[in-house]
Amino acid sequence: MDAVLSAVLVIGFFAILAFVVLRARAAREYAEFSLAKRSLPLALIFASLCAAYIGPGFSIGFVGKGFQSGLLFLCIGLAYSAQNILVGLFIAPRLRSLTDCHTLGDAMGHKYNRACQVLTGVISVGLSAALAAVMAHAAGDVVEQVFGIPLWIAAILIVAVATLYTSWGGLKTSIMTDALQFAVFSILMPAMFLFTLVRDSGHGAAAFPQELTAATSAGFRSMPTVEIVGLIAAFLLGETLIPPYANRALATQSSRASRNSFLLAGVFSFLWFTMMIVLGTVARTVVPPETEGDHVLLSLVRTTMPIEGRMLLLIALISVIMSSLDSLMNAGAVVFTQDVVRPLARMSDRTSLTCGRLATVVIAVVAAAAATAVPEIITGLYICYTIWAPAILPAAVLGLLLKKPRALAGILSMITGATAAVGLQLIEYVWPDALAVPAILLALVASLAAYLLGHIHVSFRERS
Amino acid sequence: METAVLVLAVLAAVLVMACGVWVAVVLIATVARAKRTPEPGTRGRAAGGPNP
Repeated sequence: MDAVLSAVLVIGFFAILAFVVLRARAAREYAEFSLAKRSLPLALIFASLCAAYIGPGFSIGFVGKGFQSGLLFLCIGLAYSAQNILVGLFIAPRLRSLTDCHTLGDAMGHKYNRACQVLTGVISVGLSAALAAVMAHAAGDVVEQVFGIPLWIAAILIVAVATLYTSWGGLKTSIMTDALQFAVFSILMPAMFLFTLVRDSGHGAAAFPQELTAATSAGFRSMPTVEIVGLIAAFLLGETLIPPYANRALATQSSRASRNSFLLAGVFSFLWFTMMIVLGTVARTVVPPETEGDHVLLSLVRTTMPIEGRMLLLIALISVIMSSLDSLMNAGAVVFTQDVVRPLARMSDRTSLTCGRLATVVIAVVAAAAATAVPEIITGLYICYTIWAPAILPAAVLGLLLKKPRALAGILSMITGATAAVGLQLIEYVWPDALAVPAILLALVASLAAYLLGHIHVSFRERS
Repeated sequence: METAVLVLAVLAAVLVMACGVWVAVVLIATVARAKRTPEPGTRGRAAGGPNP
C-alpha cells in the first residue's frame, strides 16, 4: 500500500511537471533558449529566482544548522537576504538596462572587452558545473535515504530528468518548471512545519525555549569569530550574480521588474531561513542528538509524519533540488554558448541553439559524474562561493557602477581573484589552521587591489 | 525572546505558503494562456493554411 501511494504521488508530480514542460514548448530560437524572449511575468521570475537559490543547502542544510547551532545561521543567513536586496536596488536594474546582453559575461564584454567576456564565461561555466554537482549529490542523498537506491544511480536519474526538459525548452521551461516546483515546496514545507509544531505542541513547545537558547549558545561558542565573519562574507557575496541569477535579472520584462524580483526574493529568503532554522531547533526534541546535520530533516519527517506526509516531503525536496539543478545547467549552457563559443566563432541562431542544448547535456554529465565526490552540502557550496566572489564580483560590480571601467583592471582582478581563491583554499586544505583570516576575504582584497592597480595604471597612461 | 522567534516562524510559514499560492495561480494563468495561443507558424497564411 505504501509503495503504491509513493508511486502514485511521485508519478503524479512528474506528470504535472511534464504537462508544464509541454505547455512551455520547445525553444525555437536562441533568444528563447537563453532569455525566454523576456516575456515572463514578475511572479514567475521571482519564483524562479527563489527556487534557484533555495537548494539543498538552504533547506536540508539549514534545518541541520538550526539543529546544531540554533539562531547562529539565521544571523548569517541575514547577509544573504541583504545581498538580494542590495542587488535589487543597485545592480539588477543596471544589468537589465544593457538591452543586448544575454549573460553577465555579455555585460562584462559590453563594459570591458571580449577577453573579459570569455574569462567570465569560463569561470561561470566551471562554477555552474561545480554547483550542479553539489545539487546532484544532494538529490542522490535524499532519494537514497528514502528509497535505498545507491546515491550515484539516484543522482543520474534526477540529473537525466532535469536535462531532458532543460535542453528541450531552455530558460522558459526552466523558469516555468521552477515556478511549479516553488509552488510545491513553498506550500508543502510550511504545511509540514506547522504540522510538526501542532503535533509536538505538548512536550516540544515547552522545551523549545531551552533548546533554542542551548543550541544558539553552543553554536556561537563552537565557531570562532573569524569563521563567522568568513561565513557572513560568503553569504553576502558568494552567490551574488552567479549565472542563473544574472540570467533571470536579464530575462525580466523591464528594469523595474528586475529590481522588484530581487527585492521580493530577498524578503522571501528571510522568511524561509526563519522557518527552516526553527524547524531544526524543534527537531532537537524529536531527533537523536548524534544525527548528522544533513540527515536531520529526513529523520524528523520519518519520526513525526505519516507515510503520505513523507512522500509529499520527498516531492517537496526533489522540487527544491531539481529547480536549482535545472537553473544551473541552463545558465551554464547559455554562458558557454554566449560567452565562450560565440565570441570565438560566428554562429547562426540555429547552431547557437544546438550548441546550448549540447552544452546542457555536457554539464549534466559532469555534474552526475562528480556528484559522489562532493563533501557535505554546505561545505561544497562554501568552496564554490569562495572562488566566485573574488573572481567575478569586484570586476562585475565596479564595471556596472563606474562610468569608464578599464579592461586591464577587469582582467587583472579576475585572474588574481580566481588564483588567490584556489591557492588559499588549497593552503587551508593542507594546513587547516594556517590562515587567520577567511580565504574568501583575503582573495577579495587581492582581487580589489589588482583592480585598483589596473585602473590607476591605465588612467595614468591615458593622461600622459 | 524565544516565544517571539516561534511566533515569527509561524508567521513566516504562513507568508511563504501565501507566496506559493500566488505563484501557483499565476503559473496556471500562464499555462492556460499558452494553451490558447497557437504555436507560431502553425496557423494562418504564413503556414499555408486558411486566412483566420
